[in-house]
Amino acid sequence: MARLTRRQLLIGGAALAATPSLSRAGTGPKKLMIITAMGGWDPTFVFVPSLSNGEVDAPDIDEDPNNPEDREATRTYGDVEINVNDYKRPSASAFFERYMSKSLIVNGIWTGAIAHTPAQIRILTGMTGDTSPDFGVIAGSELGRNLPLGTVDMSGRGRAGHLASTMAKVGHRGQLLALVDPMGSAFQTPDESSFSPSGYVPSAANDAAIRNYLRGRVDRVESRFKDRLGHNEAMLADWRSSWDRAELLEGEAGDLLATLELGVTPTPLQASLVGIDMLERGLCSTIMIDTAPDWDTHAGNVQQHGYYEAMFIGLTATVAELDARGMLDDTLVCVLSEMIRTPRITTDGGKGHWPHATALLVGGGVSGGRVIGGYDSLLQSLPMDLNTGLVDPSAELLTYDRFVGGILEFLDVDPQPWLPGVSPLRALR
Amino acid sequence: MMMMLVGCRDDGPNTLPPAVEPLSDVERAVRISVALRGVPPDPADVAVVRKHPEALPALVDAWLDDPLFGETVKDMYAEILDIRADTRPIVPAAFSLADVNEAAIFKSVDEAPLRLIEDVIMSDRPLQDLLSEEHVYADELLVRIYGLEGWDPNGPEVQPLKWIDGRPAAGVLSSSALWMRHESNGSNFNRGRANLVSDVFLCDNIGNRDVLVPGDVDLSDDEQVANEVVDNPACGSCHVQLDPLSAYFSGFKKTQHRIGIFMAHNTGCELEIEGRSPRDWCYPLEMYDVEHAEDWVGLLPEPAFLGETGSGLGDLGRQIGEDPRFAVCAARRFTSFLFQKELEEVPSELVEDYVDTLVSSGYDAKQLVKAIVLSDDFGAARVIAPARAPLATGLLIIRPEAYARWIADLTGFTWWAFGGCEGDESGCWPVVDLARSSLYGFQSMAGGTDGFMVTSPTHTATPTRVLVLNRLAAEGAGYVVEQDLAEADLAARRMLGEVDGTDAGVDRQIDAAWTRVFGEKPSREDRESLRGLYDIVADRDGETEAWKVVLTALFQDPRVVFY
Repeated sequence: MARLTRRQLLIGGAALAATPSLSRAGTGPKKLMIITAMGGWDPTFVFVPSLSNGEVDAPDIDEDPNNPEDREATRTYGDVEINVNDYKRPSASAFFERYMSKSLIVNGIWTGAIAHTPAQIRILTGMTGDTSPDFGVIAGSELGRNLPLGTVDMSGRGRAGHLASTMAKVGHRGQLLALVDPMGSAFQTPDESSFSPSGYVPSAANDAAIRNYLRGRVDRVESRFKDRLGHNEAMLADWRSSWDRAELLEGEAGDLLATLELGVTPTPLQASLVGIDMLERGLCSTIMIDTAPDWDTHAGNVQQHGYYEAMFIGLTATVAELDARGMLDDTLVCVLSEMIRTPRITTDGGKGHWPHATALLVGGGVSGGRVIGGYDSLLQSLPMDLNTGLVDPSAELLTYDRFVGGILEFLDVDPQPWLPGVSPLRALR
Repeated sequence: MMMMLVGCRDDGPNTLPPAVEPLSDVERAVRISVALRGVPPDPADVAVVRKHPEALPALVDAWLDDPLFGETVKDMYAEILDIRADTRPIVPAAFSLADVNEAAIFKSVDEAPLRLIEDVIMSDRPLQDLLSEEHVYADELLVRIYGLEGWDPNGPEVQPLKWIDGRPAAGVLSSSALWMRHESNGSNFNRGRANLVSDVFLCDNIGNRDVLVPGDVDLSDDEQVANEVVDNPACGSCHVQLDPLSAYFSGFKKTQHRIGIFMAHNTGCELEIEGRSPRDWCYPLEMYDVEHAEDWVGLLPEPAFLGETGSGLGDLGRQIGEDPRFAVCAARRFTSFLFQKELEEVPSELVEDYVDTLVSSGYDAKQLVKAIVLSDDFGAARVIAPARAPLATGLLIIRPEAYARWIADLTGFTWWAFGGCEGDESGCWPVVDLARSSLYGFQSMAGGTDGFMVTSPTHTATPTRVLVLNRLAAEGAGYVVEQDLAEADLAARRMLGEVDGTDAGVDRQIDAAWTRVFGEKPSREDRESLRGLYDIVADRDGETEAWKVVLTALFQDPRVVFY
């Protein structure tokens, strides 16, 4: 079986990456790091400064009256107002102190869904169906067409759709380690006599012989099921390209994953640093990371203080690392949650789901030091001029598909094939 | 002239080329067997099909009665219900369950509703029994977890027991596991659960519709929400349908989460959590309380389905089963699963014949499945005119669950391993089947769902899927070769029953292994190709390694992966 050919790559649109080869970062196309905070964050803690006012319960309701340091405040960074609490969320303040000039807050993204899964699908894919690839995978497949992989998903939340052959998953607990380096990172075997795992790993020479044999078999199967760029050929093209990518993963990913521990969930910062290594080495162009906690604070909205603090600790370190490696201007860091929370606290001390979203974009050449879009006093998305980002009552809502289209376009990926007819957000530059 | 014109008109439709090119009889049998059971047909069945293609329907009947089809049924509903969610373990191996492997708890709890579904379908009962069955299909561990009664220690491994907490008999709708997985947080008041039922059994996903919350509605104010969903047309369009359905689920706890279980036990089972009795959160867990069955009053309209009121989940199960959409949805879901298409790619109008089959058979799911797999569309090798065969696909890819079962069937190998520990010791998964776990293993990395973050399977190859199949193939091959070559009795061997140290034995063994994998003997070209692989390795590393390599290659052959 020959390696990927141009024709095979075009079959079915599934194998969009060309013959993978490693390249150094910095001179190539843009990169993307998506950091998800799924469950629904409360933007009043950071992105929408507000004091509790009868319509909105803001984080000042959590202040300890006996602790003068525990105070919510609105602080201005450049022209942007941020809600801060230097006692409970000092890392948020520190982040914006350092990186506001490279940060853009997008408020008022209307998602129109108050259940987690539909909202996640919408904010990640710009579509309502369960089958579309997310914007990270789309961007990865296009920006990473000369790289071994489009996307590496360390979050477990990636939605690859028909672009699945361009994405690799690390696994919830670093399982990819055991696949790319089965001798060095093998699972332990249970100490019970009834189980007899073989632990067999073919030698490199024999592995090559197996693969050579299988390439011939794929050729045979293809000759039987050829269907002129139809489903069968797309399936087999995905199979070929996945084999090639898997080989490259085996060759390259082992040392990149070495800081992870098989069987243990990596911390978000660990995942970020591994992801940055992958981007820098040119293994892929998109990384997906999750912030780990479930932000769905139906009972105890007070937990959001800690969630934000942990997230900004990791985000600051991530952005600092990108900056130190000279990658920040090439790499768009997109931090988002699929929804925000209701304005008021419930009797359980939590907040419900609200069908709107806020995203924080950092680096990647985004025009920083700004907030675009907005909410009304009840945290309902306001219409926005898609070109300027200014709230404009005569304009239309920034819907989820426009947001996704805007991210793709910002990354020099034409959104139209993926979101036909959408008017993308153009206020990111 | 007239005759010629008439003749031309008559011949017109026949001049169209066929919409699909069919598989050969044997290929078709293989596809159907793998789709239904996850394994290819026995060589004897292949021989029958080759000689008597008309025997295929009878073979399909037999395969539908095979317990392996029951496993496939569970796989299908696990995807639909998102019930195998081991990435979000709820019930800890702690306190009175401290002696148990947490992976076993997960399996015991989450497989219970799937076992119910399996039993209904495998015993040829009407599909509506999924919504009326009165038993929970418990193993011994589940009895401890839920405090069930009536367990026969001398009985089978899984026994149908009755819930003892007064919950209505409504099949999977009465399942504790299902509502543990699909919790109803905050002020949701079971609307999410109602939507799941509507989506799963009627293919009407109300929650997928756009939500337009009027500006002056505060969703955190339960009373205001209760009023708005009645009075406000923007809300009512969904809630008029959803809320009476939601009211049926009163009585079930809003959530059953891990933290609550720890908190309750650590406070002597005296801590009230989320308005429910402290006992509910301690082992044995209580997910339903009949005293809360009227909790909907004041918050939701009375329980009803499409305007017809009901008095409990049993009524809801009956009402759904009587809805014509139930049969249509079942046909769409089985078609979607078997054709590996998303549900939205299988509109109602394409499954009308299957619906007729289901209804006329008395809602026998096996007859529905039989009609689907014996259709021309399912038996397509390739699609020539997609517009005339919109369901037809061509090659299908083996699901990771089926692949693991197939490897186990061929080799006896199950991918047991020590999963790992995280946090408190109750988070340890000492023994886990890597092929079936997403948390510690490779289920979702190989294209399956994880029931929580990955809710839709991947029906094509991915780099990680290739690596998983590669590893599992090698593990299975290594295992069976070691076992077989240590077995002196050739007849007792699983794969290498022809290996006798002779050169002719190698050829016979290659034929036998190929036949075991594909159901028929290899062509000369295929035999020579595999023999070439054997010879390369045998010359270099000896016979044992050569067989490991040959089987590793065979187990991930593209005709195994694609069927």
